[in-house]
Amino acid sequence: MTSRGSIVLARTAESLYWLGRYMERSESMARILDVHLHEIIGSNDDNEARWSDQMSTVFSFERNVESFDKLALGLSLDETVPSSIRYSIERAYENAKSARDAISLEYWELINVAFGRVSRYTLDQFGHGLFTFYSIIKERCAQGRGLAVSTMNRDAAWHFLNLGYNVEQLDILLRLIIEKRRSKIPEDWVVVLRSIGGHEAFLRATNSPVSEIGSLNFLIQERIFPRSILATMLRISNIVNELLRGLDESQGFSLPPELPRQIARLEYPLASETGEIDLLLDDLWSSHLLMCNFYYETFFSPLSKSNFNYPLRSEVWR
Amino acid sequence: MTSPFDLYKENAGAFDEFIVNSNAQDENWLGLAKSIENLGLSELKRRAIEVEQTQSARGITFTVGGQERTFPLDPLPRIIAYDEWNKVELGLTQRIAALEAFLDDIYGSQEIVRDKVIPKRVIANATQFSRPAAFPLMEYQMRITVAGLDLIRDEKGELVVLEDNLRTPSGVSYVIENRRAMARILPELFENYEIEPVTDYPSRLLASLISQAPSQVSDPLVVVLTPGIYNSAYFEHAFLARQMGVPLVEPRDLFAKGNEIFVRTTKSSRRVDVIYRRIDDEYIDPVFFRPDSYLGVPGLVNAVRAGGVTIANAVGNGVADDKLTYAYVDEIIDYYLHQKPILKNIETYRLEDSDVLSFVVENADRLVIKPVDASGGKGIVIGSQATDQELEEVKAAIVANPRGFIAQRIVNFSTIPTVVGNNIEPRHADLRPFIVSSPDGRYVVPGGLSRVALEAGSMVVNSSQGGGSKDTWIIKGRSRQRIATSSQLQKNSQSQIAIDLAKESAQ
Repeated sequence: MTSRGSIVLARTAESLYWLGRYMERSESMARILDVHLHEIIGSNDDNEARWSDQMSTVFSFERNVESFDKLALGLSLDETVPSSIRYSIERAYENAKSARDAISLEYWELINVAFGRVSRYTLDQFGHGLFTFYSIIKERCAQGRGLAVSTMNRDAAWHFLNLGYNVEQLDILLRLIIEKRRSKIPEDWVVVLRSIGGHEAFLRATNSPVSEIGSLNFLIQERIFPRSILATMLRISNIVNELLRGLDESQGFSLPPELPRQIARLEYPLASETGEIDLLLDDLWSSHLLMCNFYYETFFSPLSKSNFNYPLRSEVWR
Repeated sequence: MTSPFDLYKENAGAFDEFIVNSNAQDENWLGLAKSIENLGLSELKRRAIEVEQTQSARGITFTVGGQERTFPLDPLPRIIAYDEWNKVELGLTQRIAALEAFLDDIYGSQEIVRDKVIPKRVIANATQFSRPAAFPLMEYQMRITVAGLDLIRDEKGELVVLEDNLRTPSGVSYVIENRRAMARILPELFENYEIEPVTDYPSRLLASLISQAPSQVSDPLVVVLTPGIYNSAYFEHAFLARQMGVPLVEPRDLFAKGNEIFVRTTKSSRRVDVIYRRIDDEYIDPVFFRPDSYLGVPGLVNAVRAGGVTIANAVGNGVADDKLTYAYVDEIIDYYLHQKPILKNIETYRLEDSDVLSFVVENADRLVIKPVDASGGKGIVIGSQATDQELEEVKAAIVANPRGFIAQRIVNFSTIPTVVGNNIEPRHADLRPFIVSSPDGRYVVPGGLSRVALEAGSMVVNSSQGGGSKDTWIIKGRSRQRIATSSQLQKNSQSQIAIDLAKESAQ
């Protein structure tokens, strides 16, 4: 690991991490909004109002009183909404550009073209045609992921990109589950499973009808479902271990015990009392935030922990 | 078959590179015309559009006013004969060698001023003269690592120097990408011509940068320094970094400590030995230059002075591509090299003399007036095309500050056949060759970037103002037979196959 190829600038690493996060966010949001829009057709007003409320909490932290259609439109194409898909694609493009020397030509080309296409779409163009938009986004993002997997060296740059993808996956799933837990409507869990592309996987894995506790078990700790919290955390822990190799442990560069602790905990069956599940989810959420801080301190502003009095990037430039 | 060149006519008064050469029965230009005739203009355009789409997908763009655009590539190449190019190459290296010596001198003992070859005020009043740069370089360092000169072909057909760009000239990435694109547009011609390759550039540049590393370093870390993704030439910065296989850094990635420069990596920091910077002097170090610059690395200039890091190009080169210095280049070549200049300048009026100044003010409508320290075509007034108001303004400006401007005669520079709509028409084009210097010698990219004005009659070739580009071919010689008979060859081989088949079936 001393070859020239292994030098990754802190900024490049951060760009790659955010590139992964924004690409994953675009794809997940497209899938979630798509599924909900489909479900709303032929559904009652209660559902619409509730979902509208939930989606705005999951994605924009603001309570929303608009109709679901309007909300979905804003979350898809409005570049002034900082959690919209369009905004995410734009950020992905900027980060890809900034890390241009670390990603493959094919991957870059795909993002560049996707950004060009998305930035030409306008709000009025998609009055009722958001499904087309979502399928384009899902397709592009999936292609991107495939190209990255098949064209990039498995070096540090790849690990940061992959880390971003996985962290975002964990982030969105946790938010979704926590929000859906609040409403206590059992039918919603089919929608949740569909929203992360796991309905069929659930049926195949469990051979049982969808129930709340069954879905939670599946989403949180099913090892063979690649998007479950446990599976995602296992991947993150592998990536972080890989990245930490060669860093000086005496300066505090080691895997925080949080991650292995949570993984070990998820190996055991879930408690059946719902109160305990909520506690678990809250705990998982705070570990997730802690890990996000850890990435920053360790990789993206690497000198903050060392003994030198170097100016931090944030102190000088912000 | 009618050739698209049948209707081609040159503009009156200008030197047209196709007409003159085809009248002289130049094989290369005739071969090109023949190939276009065989291919058909519509097919040529179809291929060109296809290539442009690929380029746009790959982000081969530059930015104008926040908008990303591709650099339009005209599918007809420009051909320059090898013999002429040899002379130009010699002229370019001679000029850069002299300017390198000039910079060393004026940032050192200023002997050229003491010997009264150049008046002291020319240097002392140059806005680009930089006191922080006034120190001797280490013997392994160059001041002008990369130069990009602007040449034009005058009315007599001779390539002359219009401008020296010794700061951070850009465009070389388009030279390389254009060549790649042309190989897809006109693959037929690549088989028949022996075209001097341009793809050596990144490795030559890297070799030069490595050889300028501080001497105690055995495995130097070279980086490309870019202002960031919003810079108009960001594509080129990323392109060069990838082609050289070195990190592309932004100013915020670097910091100075104890007269050394470090880069922040995910594994704490690494010492940087050579910086190929694409940031202007003004912004590069807030300690010495603009204190409000966010693009700078505080302490960089001190590190350079202490020999802790090498930057290319060196600080302060602007004084040598000052337009008034340009007017003295012949004297500079003579003074340092004791040689006659190989490449000519355009006749230039120095406005310091009051007689010359009043002559220029009277004849402003027939001259080009340029600010001495600007680059990229900014602030240039072409007398014959300017409005009365613009002329009055520039006259007032030159009277108020004669040192700030020079005047030149308007050169009706050469035209080249260019695809416009469904025709081929003459368009004015200049040429920007790139020269890489290292302590061991100089390398000139064969050809360079030909920029072409896409408006009829326009002489503004800048990409920001609607200019396009052309691939420039330096052709060493070619086998005439292969072009003349390539279609015949095909027929022959087909009939040969027919004969073979007949024989086979007979057996």
